[in-house]
Amino acid sequence: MEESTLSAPAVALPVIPSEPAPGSSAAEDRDLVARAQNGDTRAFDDLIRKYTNKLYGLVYNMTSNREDTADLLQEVFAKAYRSLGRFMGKSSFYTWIYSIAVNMTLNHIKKRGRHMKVSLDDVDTGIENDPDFIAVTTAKTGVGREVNIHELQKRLNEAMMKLSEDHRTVVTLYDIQGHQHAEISRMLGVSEGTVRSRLFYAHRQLQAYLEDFIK
Amino acid sequence: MNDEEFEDIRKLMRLKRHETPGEGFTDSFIKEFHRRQRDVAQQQSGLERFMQMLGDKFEAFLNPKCGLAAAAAVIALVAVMLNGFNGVAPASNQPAQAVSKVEDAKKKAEDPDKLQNKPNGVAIPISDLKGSK
Repeated sequence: MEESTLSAPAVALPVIPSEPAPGSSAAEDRDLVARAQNGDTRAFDDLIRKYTNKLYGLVYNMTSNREDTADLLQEVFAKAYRSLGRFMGKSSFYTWIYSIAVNMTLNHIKKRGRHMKVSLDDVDTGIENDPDFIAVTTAKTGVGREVNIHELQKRLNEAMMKLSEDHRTVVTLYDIQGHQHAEISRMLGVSEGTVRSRLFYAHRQLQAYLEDFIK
Repeated sequence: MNDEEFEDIRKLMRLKRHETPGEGFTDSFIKEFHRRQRDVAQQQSGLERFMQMLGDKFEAFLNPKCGLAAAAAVIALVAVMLNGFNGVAPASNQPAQAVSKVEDAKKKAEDPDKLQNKPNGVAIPISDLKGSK
């Protein structure tokens, strides 16, 4: 592993226990955050290692651009690193860093406006064995339907990009990343009702855009 | 229910989990993170770092909702200050102001050279009124 060359964040503050983060170990996070706040830069590396893939999925699915995603993610972690001294632990680290990532990505999308370019990641080979893929590509009669994976990927991304930023965010967090309504509401700072309402309208629009794939 | 009604759409969207940056992304990402942090530490002056820290701290005010609230608060503050400069006392000072007005009126009545208003609005000295009797 590369020798850590980071300097310690400014101030170390006590970490207060917060709500558990499903899918990740909140206790482990608290320990890593406390160590990072006390100047252990390897602990911050561990936090990056733990959350890079999850946050990559979030940013990538909101921007549909892999170059922007890698850059934005660097900025997200840089900001988290600078702000770590002020992280009081009122929410979990998981919720906190997700909030940073969502806000920075939304700002980026707004700045870019209509000039967003699409550049897609490769689809891993596991998709062919995914029960959801089999269900989508198999007609109700049991006869297999020819679906080009790349065509499907393109259509899914186009459909996502047609949604408003707010709707795209909830679909990413709920459908793609599997977060619960309550978690999303904490990450976005809106009520659970708002999350559900945005999901409803987003699903209705997606259903219209992807009609030919779900019949 | 929303989830059941849109289950097919949700199945389709879940397929996006298979879009990944590829193996080795995390390691190269961490190396790049260290490189950028080193560059920042070398290039930024103390003032730039201070400004960035301030920017991070007050970024919430750049949010449109917070910005509106902050603008409203500033307008309210300016309005209160202007009121103060124009001599309009706050409500809590009104009784004291009323007492001072009564005292002023008494002083005027005792001073013969002061003007007194006639019902038609034309002001003449009190001494003139005495002389006309």
